[in-house]
Amino acid sequence: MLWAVAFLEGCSNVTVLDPKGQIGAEEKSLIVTAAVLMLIVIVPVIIMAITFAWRYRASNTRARYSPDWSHSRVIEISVWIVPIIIVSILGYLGWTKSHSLDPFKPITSKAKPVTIQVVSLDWKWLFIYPDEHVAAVNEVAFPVNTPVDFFVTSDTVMNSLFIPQLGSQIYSMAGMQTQLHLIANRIGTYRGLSANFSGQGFSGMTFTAIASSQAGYSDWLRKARQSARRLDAGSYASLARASENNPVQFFSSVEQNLFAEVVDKYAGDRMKTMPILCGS
Amino acid sequence: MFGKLTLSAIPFGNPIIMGAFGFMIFCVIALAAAVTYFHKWKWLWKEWLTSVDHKRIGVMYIVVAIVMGMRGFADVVMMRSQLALSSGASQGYLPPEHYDQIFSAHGVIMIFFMAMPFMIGLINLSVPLQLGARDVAFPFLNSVSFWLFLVGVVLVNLSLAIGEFAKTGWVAYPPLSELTYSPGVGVDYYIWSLEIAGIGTLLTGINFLVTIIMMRAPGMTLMKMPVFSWTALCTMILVVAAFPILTVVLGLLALDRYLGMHFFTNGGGGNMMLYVNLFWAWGHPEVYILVLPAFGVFSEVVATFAGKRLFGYTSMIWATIAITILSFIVWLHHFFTMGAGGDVNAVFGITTMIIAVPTGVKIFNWLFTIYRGRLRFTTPVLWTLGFIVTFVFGGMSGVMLANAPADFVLHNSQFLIAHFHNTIIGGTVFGAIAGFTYWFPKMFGFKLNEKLGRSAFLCWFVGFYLTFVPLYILGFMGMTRRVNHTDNPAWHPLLLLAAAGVAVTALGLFLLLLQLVVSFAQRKKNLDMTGDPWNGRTLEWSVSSPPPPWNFARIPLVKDRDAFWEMKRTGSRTQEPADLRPIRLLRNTGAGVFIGAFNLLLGFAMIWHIWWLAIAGFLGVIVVLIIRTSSDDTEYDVPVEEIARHESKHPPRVGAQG
Repeated sequence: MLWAVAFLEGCSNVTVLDPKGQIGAEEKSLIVTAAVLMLIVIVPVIIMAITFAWRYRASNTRARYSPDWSHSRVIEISVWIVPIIIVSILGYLGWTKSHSLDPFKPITSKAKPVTIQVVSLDWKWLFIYPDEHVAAVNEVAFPVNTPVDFFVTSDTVMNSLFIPQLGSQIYSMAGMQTQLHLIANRIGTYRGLSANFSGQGFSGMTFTAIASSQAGYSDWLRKARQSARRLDAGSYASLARASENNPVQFFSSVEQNLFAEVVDKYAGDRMKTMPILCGS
Repeated sequence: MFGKLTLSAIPFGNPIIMGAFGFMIFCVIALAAAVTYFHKWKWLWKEWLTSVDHKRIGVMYIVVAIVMGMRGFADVVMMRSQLALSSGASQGYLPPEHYDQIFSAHGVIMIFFMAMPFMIGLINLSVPLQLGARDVAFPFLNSVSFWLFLVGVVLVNLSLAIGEFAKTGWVAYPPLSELTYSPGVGVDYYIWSLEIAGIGTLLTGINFLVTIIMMRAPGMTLMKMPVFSWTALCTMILVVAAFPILTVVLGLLALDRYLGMHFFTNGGGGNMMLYVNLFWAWGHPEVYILVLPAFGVFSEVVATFAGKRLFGYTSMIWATIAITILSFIVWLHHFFTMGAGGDVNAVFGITTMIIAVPTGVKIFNWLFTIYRGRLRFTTPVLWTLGFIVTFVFGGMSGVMLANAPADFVLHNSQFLIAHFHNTIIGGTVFGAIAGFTYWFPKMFGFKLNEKLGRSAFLCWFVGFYLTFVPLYILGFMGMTRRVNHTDNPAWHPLLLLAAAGVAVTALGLFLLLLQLVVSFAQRKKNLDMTGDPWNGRTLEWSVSSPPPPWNFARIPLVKDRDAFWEMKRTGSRTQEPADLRPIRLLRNTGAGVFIGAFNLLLGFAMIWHIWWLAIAGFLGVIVVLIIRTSSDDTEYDVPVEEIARHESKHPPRVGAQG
C-alpha cells in the first residue's frame, strides 16, 4: 500500500497526490497520514487473517484446539484500546485540520487576494472578476502565490467547484453564496470541473484554471478586455440557457452587482419564508 | 383518460432499451409457459405466493434479490463498457440521457432491490428459527411487506420501457429532481417505487422488532441470543427509526412535483439543503441496515466452521449497539463540501471515525474466534476471510474520507465510488453470499456444490480488486463520478482495467448461477438428512431441513448461548419432552398479493397522473384490508398426527452428532 502511494506520487497524472498549491498540499499530507495510521491496524489484521486461518485449519491437528475459549481480558481490552488510540489521533487531526482547512477561511498571505465570483450554469462555469469588471466562461486565471477568494453560487441545480490540483471543492447552490479560498504555488494550467452531478451536460462541465505570473495574469485580463462581448442582464439571460461543452468565452465588461442579483433571485424568497434559517 | 401516458412513452427507437425489455418479457413468458407446462400454477399460488410462512417469504425475497442483482449487474456492464469506450474523441454508445438513467437505476436497484431484500430474506429465513419461534409475530403483515417490496421492483422495471427512470443519480438531489429540471416521469418512478417498497420495509422492521423482543424461546435472554439475531434486532431498530425519514422526504419531494410546493426548490423559499440532510439522515443508517446483518452472518459462519465459541460475544454485541447508535449521528459526512464550517465538519468527521472502533473490535473478534479453532475451509468461510481482508481497506478509505479536508478533494470522486463498493460488495454482498450458502441446506434440504462455490468466490475476489483498485487510483487522479465521457488519456488504461474486472466478476456471477443449477441436478448426492449439515451451534440446525411449517414441534428450552451446540454436547433433548399438542398456524392468504396489486395500480397511476386509477387502486387496498381484517377464518390447527408423522421422519436430535 505504501509502495502504491509512493508509486502514485511519482506519477504526474495523479492530481490529488501531486498538488500545486498550499491547500492541496496540506490535504494530501492529511490523506497520507490517515492512510499510514490506519495501516497500523490493517496490516496486522491481514497477517492475522492469513496466519490464523492457515494455522488453525481443520486438517492441522497439531494446532491447539480450545472450543470453549472465548474470552481473554487482555485481548479484549487491547482490541478496544488500540483502535481508540488511533482514532483519537485521527480525531485530533480531523478537528484541527477541519478548522485550518475550512474552505470558507481566507488564506493569510502578503499578496493581495484576487476575488472571483463563480456562477454555475447549465452546463458551464461563469467566472466574474468584480474588481477587474471582466468575466469568462469555462476559464479562470489568477496569479501564482496569490490567494484566490472564490464566492460561489448557482443559477441552476447544485454543482461543486473543484480544481483537484489546488485542493478543496465547494458546492454551488442557488440563492446561497459559498466560499472557497485557494492558492496556486506553481505556475501551470490545471483542470477544473463540477464534482456534483448536474444533469445532461455534466460530463462536459469542465474548465481550465490558469495560474500564471503577474505578467501572464495581466495579459489574460487584457485578452478578456478585448472581447466584443459584454455581460449585462440580456446577454446573461442568453448565456444562462442550457448548453453543453460550452467553448471558452470572455466578457470585456460586467454589469454591476450581477452576481448579487443572481443570488438574490432565489434568496429573496427564502428570506421571506425562512428568516430564522437565514439569520435575519 | 390515461393522464400523461401515451404510446410515445415507449422508446421504440432505442434498440438497447427495447432489446432489454424484450428480453425481460421473454423471461416472464418463458417462466409462465414453464409453470403452465408443468401444471404448477396452483402449487405456485397455494404454496408460495399466498404463503405467510417466514421461510418461504424469505426465499421469495432472495429469489427477487438475485434477479434484481442480475438486472443491476447488467447496468454495471453497460456503464463500465461505456466508460471503457468513450475516451477522447469517442463518445461511446450511451448518450447522457440513457447513461444517466442507468447509473441512477443501478444505485436504486442494488441498494433497495438487491442488497436490502437479500438481507431481509436471510433474516426472514433464519431469525425465527434461531429464536426458537414458530413464525414471526405478524405473519400476514410479513406477506404484505413482501408484496409492497415487489411493487417497487415492478415499477422500477416498468420504467425501463414505459417512460424513463430518474436521471438524477440514486440520491435524486433537488433541485435537479424538481419538476423544473426533471420534467419527465423518471423521478416519479423513483419516488413511488421507493415510497411503496419503503413502507413494506418499515412494516418488516416493526414485525421483526416485535418478533425478536417477544418471541424468543424460554430461557433465551437477550445476552443468550445468537449474534445474527442480534444484528437483525439492531438492523430493525435502524429500519424503524430511519425509514419514516425517507418516506417523509420523498413525500415532500412529491408534494413539490405534484402540487407545486416549495420544500426543496430553488425559488419560492425552498431549500435543497433540507433534502440533502433528511436524505442522509435516512441514508447513513441505511448503510448499516445493509451491513449489520452481514456482520451477523460472518459471526455465525466463523463460530460454526471454526467449531468454537464466538470470541468476545459481549464485546460483539456492544460493538453492534454502538454502531447502531453512531450510525444516526454521522450523516453530515456525506456533504462536508456544502460549507457547514469547521466546527460542524469536525464533529461529524470525528463521530464517523469513532465507528471504526467498534467495527475494528468486530474484526479482531472474528480473528480470535478462528484462533485455536478447527477451521473448515467451506465456501462460507472463504467469503468470510475474503470479507475480512477486503473490508479493512473499505474501512481505511472510509476513515480517510471522514477527515473533512481529505474529503474536500475526494468527495464525489471515483475514490468514493471505490470506497462504498469496497464496503457494500466486500461487506454486504460477500455476507449475503456467505449466508445464502450457509443457510441454503436449511431452505432446500441439500447443500450447494463446493467446487463451483470456491471458483465463484475466486472470480468475485479477483474481479473486485481488478475493478475497484483502478477506481481508487482514478479518484486520486481527479476523476469524478457520474461522467459518461472522459477526456484524459491517462485515465483510459485504468478504465479498461476496471472493465476487465467486471468481466471477471461476471464470470463469478455466472458460476454462482451454475452452482445453483448443478447443485439442484446433483441434490441427491448432497442431501441434508440430519438438518444439521455443518455441525451448527444455533437452534435453526436442530430442526429438519427444510423445517416443517410450524418449525418446532415443541418449543425448545434454552440454557446457553450456543443453545444447540450445548444440547448436542450435554446430550440434553433439543425440545421440551412434553406431549405433542396441536399447533395453531395462520392460513395462507392471497390478501397480500391483492394489496400489492392494488398498490401497483396506485403507484403506476400516480406516476402517470391517471387520477381515476389512482383512486381505484387506493380504494382497492382499503377494501382488501377490510375484507381481510373482518374475516374470522384465518387460522387452522395442525393435528397432532401430522406433527407426529413429521417427527417420526425427523426425530428431535438428542446427544452429539455421529
